[in-house]
Amino acid sequence: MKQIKYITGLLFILVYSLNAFSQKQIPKINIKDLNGKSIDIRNIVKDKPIVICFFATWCKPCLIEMNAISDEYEDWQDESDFEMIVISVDDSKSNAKLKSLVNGNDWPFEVYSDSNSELKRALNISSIPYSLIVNKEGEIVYEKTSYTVGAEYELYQKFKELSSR
Amino acid sequence: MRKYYLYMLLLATFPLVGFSQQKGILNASFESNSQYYFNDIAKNIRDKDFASNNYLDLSYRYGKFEAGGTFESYLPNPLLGYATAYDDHGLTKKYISYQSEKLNVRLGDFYEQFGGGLIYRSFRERDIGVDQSTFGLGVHYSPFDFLRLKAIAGKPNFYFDTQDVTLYGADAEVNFDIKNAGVILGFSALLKQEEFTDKRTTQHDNVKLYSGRVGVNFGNFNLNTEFAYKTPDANVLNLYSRRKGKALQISPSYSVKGFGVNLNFRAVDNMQLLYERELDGNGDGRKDEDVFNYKMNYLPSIANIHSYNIYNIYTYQSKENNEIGFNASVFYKFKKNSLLGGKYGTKLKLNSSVFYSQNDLENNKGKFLYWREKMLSEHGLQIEKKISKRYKLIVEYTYQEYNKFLIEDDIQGKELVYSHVFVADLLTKINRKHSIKTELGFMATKNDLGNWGTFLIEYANSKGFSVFVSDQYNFGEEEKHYYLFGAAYAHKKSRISLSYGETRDGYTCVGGICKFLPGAKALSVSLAWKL
Repeated sequence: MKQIKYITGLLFILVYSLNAFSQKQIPKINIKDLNGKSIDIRNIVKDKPIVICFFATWCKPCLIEMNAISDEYEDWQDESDFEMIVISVDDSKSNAKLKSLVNGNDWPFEVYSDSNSELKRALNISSIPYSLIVNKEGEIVYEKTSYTVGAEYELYQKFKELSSR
Repeated sequence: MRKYYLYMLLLATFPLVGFSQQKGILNASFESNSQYYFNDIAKNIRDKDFASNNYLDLSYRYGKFEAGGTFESYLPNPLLGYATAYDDHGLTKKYISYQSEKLNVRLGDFYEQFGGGLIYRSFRERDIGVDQSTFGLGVHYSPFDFLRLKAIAGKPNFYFDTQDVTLYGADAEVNFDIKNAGVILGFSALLKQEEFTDKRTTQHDNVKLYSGRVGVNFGNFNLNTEFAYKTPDANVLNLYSRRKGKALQISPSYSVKGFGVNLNFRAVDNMQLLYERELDGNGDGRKDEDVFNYKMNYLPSIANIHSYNIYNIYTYQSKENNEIGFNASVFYKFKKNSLLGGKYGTKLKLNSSVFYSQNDLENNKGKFLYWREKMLSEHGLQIEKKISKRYKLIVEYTYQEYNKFLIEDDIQGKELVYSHVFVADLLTKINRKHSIKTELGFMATKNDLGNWGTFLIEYANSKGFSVFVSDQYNFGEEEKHYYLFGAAYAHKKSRISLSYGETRDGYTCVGGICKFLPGAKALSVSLAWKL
């Protein structure tokens, strides 16, 4: 009985939620650059379409994705002004490692840290890797959870499609 | 039951408000993890075969105001590793907040962290059942760009209850430049209050905590240090010790494009900080299952975090009351078209982790910055090479010495376990749409249970579908297979995954935070959905 009540309740909420408006704007949350300085995320993602990827140094599929995008980055930039920032949800004990990993891998994109997952929670992201495309008005126009090999091309196609609008 | 309808009514009003007020924004996400157990041990811990954890997060923003809550359910049972007493459901993480350019005020349940979390960090990691928000008032205030202030007052949550502990704390951080160097200074102070009910001994109700930190960036060089101190905090896990506690963390790093090196050193003495000192809640026996949700500060292992299956045989656990050690890593990329780089470049990673105990536990004497007995020593090398457009290979070797007696408090495991670990990981891109990943692992050791082997094969397509099969086999005493197979599909914001198989007793980790889970033979289903 208890469970039936619970499940009906949950369905009720879900149906309701589907009819409502979902998040569009990037919220005001401070993240840190690799030197530990706080920056409002809205100041990073403005005036141009941009891809945001959430990752962590210990997350295997995330590293595969970052390396895959890194391999294509220059070509994509030449072709269509592709721009991406990466946000690490590593805790602060890993900050030193994060910077040397980013530089050691010679990644061409900017990396920031969201060390107590404040931004991740505000965007209701349950697991990483997670990618978003934000348009030049700061609105989230596309979201994609997880990563499988080859999905970077789909992400890039989506970026081209949305940024040309 | 009345409570139930009240929740329903409350939750249902969120989207309605969203409808009528065009400027309002609703956020919703749903996460569900369920398991059906087939083995007797798991069934005995749970009184039913089926366990399910479900979360519906809702928040509604209107201008500068936001309100939100989570509907949590652990019915008919929470998953293995979660407190069995919480086979319940209800509305948690309720909050309202106000956000302007300089000020952020949160009333209700919130997560917060001071500095690196050496004295206070409340956070959430649902995959391993950690959720330790604080209920009360939290404020962020930044009057100038160079100054950030935080203050909190509240009580720590434990599932659907709050604990009988009150916290008051504040943190300040300033950043400025001296010539070409950027400097960040921070200081935190915290008071934990809990009445000491056992009158046979004289102990203090209050625990005072302080921490200070300095960060310096100079060109390619970075240095971060933090020192924390606490007054005596008698609790059941430190055997009501009257000693003070301290922790020191130093992490320098140097990096340029293609090369990075970093060191992370930490020494801790008597720093395991708990909210309720008796871990008793209502005395319903949940202490053994859920120690992590009583932890007030954040001192998990800083040893290398491995991502291959073979390493979960011996997982290092930090000793928050008694540990000294470091992790050092080097990243290097041989450039494209160089001798060792080849056509695509070659990546090299070196890592060393060494941890010792500090204290003389038999005589209950504290020591700081003293290397007493080896707990872990681990040295590894990884090479990553893109061979062609089609193949990418990673090979890894690690030498490990693991003190089972000290790390796992295992009286029988008196010796160090010496092992050599080999990993080969091949990624084959059949084309842009289809790929196969193969991982092989082997651990050679003459100690403990003997040699282990693992394999994993995973097929994935670029549309988000994947299927895998894996096995872990003990060649020594157990001679036993732990196989697992499953599939997952992710589309835009939603993901579903399904798996079946057997796991060993052991630690499950997310980002270095580990939780002990009893072995289980289970069918698992996970769902994530976002509005």
